[in-house]
Amino acid sequence: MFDGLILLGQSVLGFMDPMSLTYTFGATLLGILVGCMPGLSATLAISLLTTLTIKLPAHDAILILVCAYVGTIYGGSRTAILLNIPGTAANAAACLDGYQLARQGKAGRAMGIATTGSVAGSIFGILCLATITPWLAEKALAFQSYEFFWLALFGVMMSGSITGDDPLKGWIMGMLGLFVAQIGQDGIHALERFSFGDPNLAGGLSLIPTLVGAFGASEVLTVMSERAARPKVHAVDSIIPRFRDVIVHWKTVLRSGVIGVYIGILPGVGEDMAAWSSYAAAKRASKHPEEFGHGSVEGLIAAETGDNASIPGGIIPALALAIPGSAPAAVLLAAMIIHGVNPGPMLMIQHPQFVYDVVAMNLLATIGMLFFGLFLVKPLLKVLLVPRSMIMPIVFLLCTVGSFAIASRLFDVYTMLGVGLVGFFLRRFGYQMAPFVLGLVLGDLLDKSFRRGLVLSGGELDPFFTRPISGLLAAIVLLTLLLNIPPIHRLYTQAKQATLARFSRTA
Amino acid sequence: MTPADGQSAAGRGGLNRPAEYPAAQAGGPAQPADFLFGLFWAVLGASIAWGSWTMDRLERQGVEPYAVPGLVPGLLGLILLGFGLILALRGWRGRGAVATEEVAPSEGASESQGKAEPWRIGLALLLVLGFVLGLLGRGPPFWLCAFLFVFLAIALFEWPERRAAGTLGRGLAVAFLVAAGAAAAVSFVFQEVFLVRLP
Repeated sequence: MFDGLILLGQSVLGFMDPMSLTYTFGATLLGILVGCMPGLSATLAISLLTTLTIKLPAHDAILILVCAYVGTIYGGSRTAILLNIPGTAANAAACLDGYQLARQGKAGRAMGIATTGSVAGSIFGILCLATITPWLAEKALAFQSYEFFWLALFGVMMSGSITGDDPLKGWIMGMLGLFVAQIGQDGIHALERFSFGDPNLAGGLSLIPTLVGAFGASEVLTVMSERAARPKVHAVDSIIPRFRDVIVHWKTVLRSGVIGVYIGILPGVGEDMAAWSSYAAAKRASKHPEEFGHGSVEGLIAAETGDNASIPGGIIPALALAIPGSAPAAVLLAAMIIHGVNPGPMLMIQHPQFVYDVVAMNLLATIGMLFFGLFLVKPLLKVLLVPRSMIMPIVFLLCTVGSFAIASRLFDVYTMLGVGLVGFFLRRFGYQMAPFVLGLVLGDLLDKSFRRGLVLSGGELDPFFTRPISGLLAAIVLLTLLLNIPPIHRLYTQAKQATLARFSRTA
Repeated sequence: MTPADGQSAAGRGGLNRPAEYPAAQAGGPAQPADFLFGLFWAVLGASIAWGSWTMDRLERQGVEPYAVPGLVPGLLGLILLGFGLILALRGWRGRGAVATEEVAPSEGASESQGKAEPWRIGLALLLVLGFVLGLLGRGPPFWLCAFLFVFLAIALFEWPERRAAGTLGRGLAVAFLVAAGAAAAVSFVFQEVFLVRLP
């Protein structure tokens, strides 16, 4: 306990130099600006910044990425409140009450509530990050290939089930991501797979250019192909956050924080689901559910606390298990690996300080978020007025340069473009990129874990199902699959309704 | 995502998603896009499975059959084949979540309020393909490629609105300045600050 506090104190002090603070505030501001622009997501921001910071020392680069991550999710609430357009998917729930408050002439108050809710959620998530990560990493030391196989599959299946409107399409994208990760030399015998003799493919598709294509190029193409009206920004009243709003709704804050962290920890489930789940739970528990959707302060607090709490939540399994909790966390995980940090159960043994460094990075990002939320609200609103027709070509330019910067080869730029084009067309038909990204990041782990597990068991599949945690994860994966089959889902719903009716009669 | 979408999406609070998607169980007209995509995924899955089956099994190195390099890709191919067939069948029978462009994806740009227009899609594709395949690495310096791409993108996408508003000249001047600034800034920052080679 005290060892952890000492390590955390050392980490915080380690970042108290002018350069780290410049990176903190610069990256948080950049994140907020990106979040303010509809069409630019947290995943895109982190992917692009990974390429830009590739030459920086690992700590500085990861600090920039974490600050940009936190800033982007927070910045998205600006457009949600003022334009009724969520800046990132995570802020969609904030539109419901935030925009209604703005229409009532309380845009400033809504932004203040979003700031305090985000800070509260972030602090709660940071506390969980600092306490749960070491515990989870210790438990995960007992994990073998069997558990890691199921965790990887669980992440892809959950992401596929929950992202978008059609689980089947989500799973297809997940499988596609897992397959693309198999291209190139295999991780055990170094045999080239699906490279067709092409030396560029022998090493596999580079992760970062592929991610930049999936989230950057495809988003740029999507936004370029849509005509956007010039935004009308609502007048802004006082933006000073009212901490009283948070104190009055402390139960909502706490509940949303817990839900946010829980959803964040679930592999593959992102901030958007955390916001919606927190919002729905707050509505169910509220004394005034009728106000939700009509400018409810409680609703806005729930949404913004939930999504910001899920950021540290998503980083917990990324650090402790090397299984990302969300798509942006997947890119963050990839960036850590590129910078020579190897997340996973051994991280707490080999580099315990790094875990607390990440906690300190989140803390600094939260301070940056509060600072800009207090002092730079009105100047930031000018960003909303910049036409997207000017921003998107420049973002594509950065996607190109960023992809090339990794290894100075045009093949990576072509990879980015190819994945971007495919992603652009697939998104138009309801296929989501998040499960693809999860599959891409987890593909190598899944492949190695499955084959190593079989080697350990002499070809027997039993340990994949009979070991306690393996069995539990296997059951969840299979249930997720089965419950999405319409006839089985109908039977399940009927059985659930019958049971509930019986209980209500008994009561 | 519109507010109306948001209201319905608010019900996604729980993780038992299927309950909120009755469309997934209702019959209806055939979904040609789902059917064709399903066939495509099935063919792709079968090809992956076949490629994995015919892959070197490293028997001479004493690799056991359950550890061959093609095992996981092969299984993934078979799963993709299965999912593709289910999607095709669902599309054929007119069941399943509404496909095509009515679906509001939950990522990034999809929340924007605009609707895709064919000429914009064509122009966007032409510009990015022209920039990456036609200009980069073909001789012209990067700053010139970047300038041309950004200038053309801004000028052409804003052309109809500018012409309607009678501000075409101003629009071209703004596009020129933004493109020149972006090309110079990106070239300088990457080459001089990040010490990165440019394409």
